[in-house]
Amino acid sequence: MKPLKKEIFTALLCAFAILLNILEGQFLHFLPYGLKIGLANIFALVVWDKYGRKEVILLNLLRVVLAALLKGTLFAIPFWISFSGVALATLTLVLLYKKATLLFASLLAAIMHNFGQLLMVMYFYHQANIAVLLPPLVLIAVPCGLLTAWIASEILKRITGYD
Amino acid sequence: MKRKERLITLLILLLAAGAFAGTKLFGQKGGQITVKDASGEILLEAPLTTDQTYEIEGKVGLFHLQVENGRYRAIDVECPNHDCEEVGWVSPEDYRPIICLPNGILVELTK
Repeated sequence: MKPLKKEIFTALLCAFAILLNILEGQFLHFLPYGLKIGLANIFALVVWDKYGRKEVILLNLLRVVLAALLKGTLFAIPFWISFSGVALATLTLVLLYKKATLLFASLLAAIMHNFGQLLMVMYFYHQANIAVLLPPLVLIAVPCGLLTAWIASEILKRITGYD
Repeated sequence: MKRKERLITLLILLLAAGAFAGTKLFGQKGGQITVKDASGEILLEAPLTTDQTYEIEGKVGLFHLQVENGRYRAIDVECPNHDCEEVGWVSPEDYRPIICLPNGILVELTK
Protein backbone atom coordinates (compact mmCIF):
# COMPACT_ATOMS: atom_id res chain seq x y z
CA MET A 1 0.00 0.00 0.00
CA LYS A 2 2.95 2.29 0.44
CA PRO A 3 3.36 3.74 -3.08
CA LEU A 4 -0.34 4.61 -3.29
CA LYS A 5 0.01 7.00 -0.37
CA LYS A 6 2.35 9.15 -2.46
CA GLU A 7 -0.08 9.31 -5.40
CA ILE A 8 -2.95 10.28 -3.13
CA PHE A 9 -0.94 12.99 -1.44
CA THR A 10 0.17 14.37 -4.81
CA ALA A 11 -3.45 14.43 -5.99
CA LEU A 12 -4.49 16.20 -2.79
CA LEU A 13 -1.80 18.85 -3.22
CA CYS A 14 -2.82 19.22 -6.87
CA ALA A 15 -6.39 19.94 -5.74
CA PHE A 16 -5.04 22.59 -3.34
CA ALA A 17 -3.00 24.10 -6.17
CA ILE A 18 -6.03 24.30 -8.48
CA LEU A 19 -8.07 25.92 -5.72
CA LEU A 20 -5.41 28.52 -4.99
CA ASN A 21 -4.88 29.15 -8.69
CA ILE A 22 -8.55 29.99 -9.19
CA LEU A 23 -8.96 31.88 -5.90
CA GLU A 24 -5.89 33.99 -6.59
CA GLY A 25 -7.01 34.78 -10.11
CA GLN A 26 -10.51 35.80 -9.03
CA PHE A 27 -10.23 37.38 -5.59
CA LEU A 28 -6.68 37.97 -4.37
CA HIS A 29 -5.42 41.00 -6.24
CA PHE A 30 -2.54 42.28 -4.15
CA LEU A 31 -0.49 43.49 -7.09
CA PRO A 32 -1.43 45.87 -9.91
CA TYR A 33 -1.68 44.98 -13.64
CA GLY A 34 -3.05 41.50 -12.92
CA LEU A 35 0.26 40.32 -11.51
CA LYS A 36 0.03 37.23 -9.34
CA ILE A 37 2.25 35.96 -6.56
CA GLY A 38 1.96 32.40 -7.82
CA LEU A 39 0.56 30.84 -4.66
CA ALA A 40 -0.39 27.69 -6.58
CA ASN A 41 3.30 26.99 -7.11
CA ILE A 42 3.73 26.42 -3.37
CA PHE A 43 2.40 22.89 -3.80
CA ALA A 44 4.56 22.18 -6.83
CA LEU A 45 7.55 23.13 -4.66
CA VAL A 46 6.36 20.89 -1.80
CA VAL A 47 6.10 17.95 -4.19
CA TRP A 48 9.43 18.84 -5.80
CA ASP A 49 11.18 18.79 -2.46
CA LYS A 50 9.37 15.77 -1.06
CA TYR A 51 8.99 13.42 -4.02
CA GLY A 52 10.71 14.20 -7.28
CA ARG A 53 10.65 15.07 -10.95
CA LYS A 54 7.80 12.86 -12.08
CA GLU A 55 5.37 14.16 -9.46
CA VAL A 56 6.17 17.82 -10.22
CA ILE A 57 5.45 17.32 -13.92
CA LEU A 58 2.24 15.46 -13.11
CA LEU A 59 1.03 18.04 -10.59
CA ASN A 60 1.77 21.07 -12.75
CA LEU A 61 0.30 19.56 -15.90
CA LEU A 62 -2.87 18.50 -14.11
CA ARG A 63 -3.11 21.83 -12.34
CA VAL A 64 -2.88 24.00 -15.45
CA VAL A 65 -5.25 21.83 -17.50
CA LEU A 66 -7.85 21.32 -14.75
CA ALA A 67 -7.78 24.96 -13.62
CA ALA A 68 -8.34 26.06 -17.23
CA LEU A 69 -11.14 23.52 -17.57
CA LEU A 70 -12.86 24.93 -14.46
CA LYS A 71 -12.36 28.52 -15.62
CA GLY A 72 -13.55 27.67 -19.12
CA THR A 73 -10.41 28.84 -20.89
CA LEU A 74 -9.09 25.43 -21.94
CA PHE A 75 -7.12 25.67 -25.25
CA ALA A 76 -7.95 29.38 -25.51
CA ILE A 77 -5.22 32.03 -25.62
CA PRO A 78 -5.07 32.57 -21.80
CA PHE A 79 -4.60 28.82 -21.40
CA TRP A 80 -1.62 28.68 -23.75
CA ILE A 81 -0.06 31.70 -22.08
CA SER A 82 -0.29 30.11 -18.64
CA PHE A 83 0.67 26.71 -20.06
CA SER A 84 3.93 27.96 -21.54
CA GLY A 85 4.77 29.68 -18.25
CA VAL A 86 4.09 26.56 -16.22
CA ALA A 87 5.94 24.38 -18.75
CA LEU A 88 9.12 26.46 -18.50
CA ALA A 89 8.87 26.68 -14.70
CA THR A 90 8.42 22.91 -14.48
CA LEU A 91 11.39 22.36 -16.78
CA THR A 92 13.48 24.58 -14.51
CA LEU A 93 12.43 22.61 -11.44
CA VAL A 94 13.13 19.29 -13.17
CA LEU A 95 16.59 20.41 -14.28
CA LEU A 96 17.45 21.78 -10.84
CA TYR A 97 16.22 18.69 -8.96
CA LYS A 98 18.72 17.84 -6.20
CA LYS A 99 21.06 20.51 -7.57
CA ALA A 100 19.66 23.65 -5.94
CA THR A 101 18.02 24.73 -2.72
CA LEU A 102 14.27 25.22 -2.55
CA LEU A 103 14.55 29.02 -2.42
CA PHE A 104 16.81 29.29 -5.46
CA ALA A 105 14.84 26.77 -7.54
CA SER A 106 11.60 28.61 -6.75
CA LEU A 107 13.13 31.95 -7.67
CA LEU A 108 14.42 30.71 -11.04
CA ALA A 109 11.13 28.94 -11.73
CA ALA A 110 9.24 32.17 -11.03
CA ILE A 111 11.44 34.07 -13.48
CA MET A 112 11.07 31.36 -16.13
CA HIS A 113 7.31 31.36 -15.58
CA ASN A 114 7.16 35.05 -16.50
CA PHE A 115 9.54 34.49 -19.39
CA GLY A 116 7.39 31.68 -20.80
CA GLN A 117 4.22 33.74 -20.56
CA LEU A 118 5.90 36.71 -22.20
CA LEU A 119 7.14 34.55 -25.09
CA MET A 120 3.60 33.34 -25.70
CA VAL A 121 2.19 36.88 -25.55
CA MET A 122 4.82 37.98 -28.07
CA TYR A 123 3.85 35.08 -30.32
CA PHE A 124 0.09 35.55 -30.09
CA TYR A 125 -0.10 39.32 -30.34
CA HIS A 126 2.90 39.85 -32.66
CA GLN A 127 4.30 42.33 -30.18
CA ALA A 128 8.05 41.81 -29.84
CA ASN A 129 8.25 45.14 -27.99
CA ILE A 130 6.51 43.58 -25.01
CA ALA A 131 9.93 42.13 -24.11
CA VAL A 132 10.65 45.42 -22.29
CA LEU A 133 8.31 44.13 -19.59
CA LEU A 134 10.80 41.38 -18.75
CA PRO A 135 13.13 43.42 -16.47
CA PRO A 136 10.33 44.71 -14.19
CA LEU A 137 8.72 41.26 -14.22
CA VAL A 138 12.00 39.68 -13.11
CA LEU A 139 12.32 42.26 -10.32
CA ILE A 140 8.86 41.27 -9.07
CA ALA A 141 9.36 37.53 -9.70
CA VAL A 142 12.33 37.34 -7.32
CA PRO A 143 10.49 38.36 -4.11
CA CYS A 144 7.40 36.36 -5.20
CA GLY A 145 9.52 33.26 -5.81
CA LEU A 146 11.19 33.66 -2.43
CA LEU A 147 7.83 34.12 -0.70
CA THR A 148 6.30 30.97 -2.22
CA ALA A 149 9.46 29.00 -1.41
CA TRP A 150 9.33 30.20 2.20
CA ILE A 151 5.69 29.13 2.54
CA ALA A 152 6.55 25.78 0.92
CA SER A 153 9.40 25.21 3.37
CA GLU A 154 7.08 26.01 6.30
CA ILE A 155 4.59 23.46 4.95
CA LEU A 156 7.34 20.88 4.50
CA LYS A 157 8.36 21.33 8.14
CA ARG A 158 4.83 20.54 9.24
CA ILE A 159 4.11 17.46 7.15
CA THR A 160 5.80 14.20 8.04
CA GLY A 161 5.09 10.78 6.66
CA TYR A 162 3.23 10.44 3.32
CA ASP A 163 6.35 9.00 1.67
CA MET B 1 20.46 29.48 0.00
CA LYS B 2 24.02 28.59 -0.85
CA ARG B 3 26.63 31.29 -1.38
CA LYS B 4 26.81 30.71 -5.13
CA GLU B 5 23.02 30.92 -5.42
CA ARG B 6 22.97 34.22 -3.53
CA LEU B 7 25.53 35.63 -5.94
CA ILE B 8 23.51 34.53 -8.99
CA THR B 9 20.36 36.02 -7.46
CA LEU B 10 22.12 39.31 -6.86
CA LEU B 11 23.46 39.26 -10.42
CA ILE B 12 19.98 38.62 -11.87
CA LEU B 13 18.51 41.45 -9.77
CA LEU B 14 21.25 43.87 -10.84
CA LEU B 15 20.87 42.92 -14.50
CA ALA B 16 17.10 43.32 -14.36
CA ALA B 17 17.36 46.67 -12.55
CA GLY B 18 19.93 47.85 -15.07
CA ALA B 19 17.80 46.78 -18.02
CA PHE B 20 14.74 48.40 -16.44
CA ALA B 21 16.56 51.70 -15.93
CA GLY B 22 17.98 51.42 -19.44
CA THR B 23 14.60 51.10 -21.10
CA LYS B 24 13.31 54.07 -19.08
CA LEU B 25 16.34 56.30 -19.78
CA PHE B 26 17.27 55.38 -23.34
CA GLY B 27 13.90 54.13 -24.57
CA GLN B 28 12.05 55.47 -27.54
CA LYS B 29 11.12 59.14 -27.43
CA GLY B 30 8.50 60.48 -29.77
CA GLY B 31 7.25 58.63 -32.81
CA GLN B 32 3.94 58.27 -34.51
CA ILE B 33 0.79 56.56 -33.34
CA THR B 34 -0.42 53.87 -35.73
CA VAL B 35 -3.82 52.25 -35.43
CA LYS B 36 -4.28 48.94 -37.22
CA ASP B 37 -7.09 46.47 -37.57
CA ALA B 38 -6.80 42.70 -37.06
CA SER B 39 -5.55 42.09 -40.61
CA GLY B 40 -2.77 44.65 -40.17
CA GLU B 41 -4.37 47.33 -42.31
CA ILE B 42 -3.60 50.86 -41.09
CA LEU B 43 -6.76 52.69 -40.00
CA LEU B 44 -5.18 55.87 -38.67
CA GLU B 45 -1.82 57.53 -38.28
CA ALA B 46 -1.54 60.37 -35.78
CA PRO B 47 1.30 62.50 -34.43
CA LEU B 48 2.01 62.49 -30.69
CA THR B 49 2.51 66.24 -30.70
CA THR B 50 -1.09 67.28 -31.46
CA ASP B 51 -3.62 67.04 -28.63
CA GLN B 52 -6.69 65.57 -30.23
CA THR B 53 -9.28 62.82 -29.82
CA TYR B 54 -9.78 60.49 -32.77
CA GLU B 55 -12.80 58.35 -33.51
CA ILE B 56 -12.29 54.92 -35.05
CA GLU B 57 -14.97 52.51 -36.20
CA GLY B 58 -14.31 49.03 -34.82
CA LYS B 59 -15.98 45.70 -35.39
CA VAL B 60 -18.33 46.11 -32.41
CA GLY B 61 -18.62 49.84 -32.04
CA LEU B 62 -16.76 53.11 -31.77
CA PHE B 63 -13.26 53.39 -30.36
CA HIS B 64 -11.86 56.73 -29.21
CA LEU B 65 -8.17 57.48 -29.01
CA GLN B 66 -7.20 60.51 -26.95
CA VAL B 67 -3.78 62.13 -27.46
CA GLU B 68 -2.61 64.64 -24.88
CA ASN B 69 0.82 65.96 -23.83
CA GLY B 70 2.68 63.30 -25.79
CA ARG B 71 0.67 60.47 -24.22
CA TYR B 72 -2.32 58.56 -25.51
CA ARG B 73 -5.10 56.34 -24.18
CA ALA B 74 -8.30 54.58 -25.21
CA ILE B 75 -11.52 56.15 -23.93
CA ASP B 76 -15.26 55.70 -24.49
CA VAL B 77 -14.87 52.35 -26.22
CA GLU B 78 -18.00 50.47 -27.14
CA CYS B 79 -17.04 46.92 -26.25
CA PRO B 80 -17.97 44.29 -23.65
CA ASN B 81 -14.89 44.30 -21.40
CA HIS B 82 -13.10 47.70 -21.61
CA ASP B 83 -9.69 46.08 -21.09
CA CYS B 84 -8.08 48.58 -23.43
CA GLU B 85 -9.32 51.52 -21.33
CA GLU B 86 -7.75 49.98 -18.25
CA VAL B 87 -4.35 50.13 -19.92
CA GLY B 88 -4.47 53.85 -19.19
CA TRP B 89 -2.12 56.51 -20.48
CA VAL B 90 0.73 55.22 -22.62
CA SER B 91 3.96 57.15 -23.03
CA PRO B 92 6.50 56.43 -25.78
CA GLU B 93 9.03 54.82 -23.40
CA ASP B 94 6.41 52.32 -22.18
CA TYR B 95 6.33 50.36 -25.48
CA ARG B 96 2.90 49.26 -24.32
CA PRO B 97 0.43 48.45 -27.10
CA ILE B 98 -3.28 49.12 -26.63
CA ILE B 99 -5.27 46.19 -27.92
CA CYS B 100 -9.04 46.04 -28.21
CA LEU B 101 -9.82 42.45 -29.13
CA PRO B 102 -13.61 42.79 -29.61
CA ASN B 103 -13.15 45.70 -31.97
CA GLY B 104 -10.04 44.22 -33.60
CA ILE B 105 -8.05 47.40 -32.99
CA LEU B 106 -4.35 47.66 -32.24
CA VAL B 107 -2.73 50.96 -31.27
CA GLU B 108 1.05 51.05 -31.32
CA LEU B 109 3.87 53.50 -31.76
CA THR B 110 6.00 53.49 -34.88
CA LYS B 111 9.08 55.54 -35.63
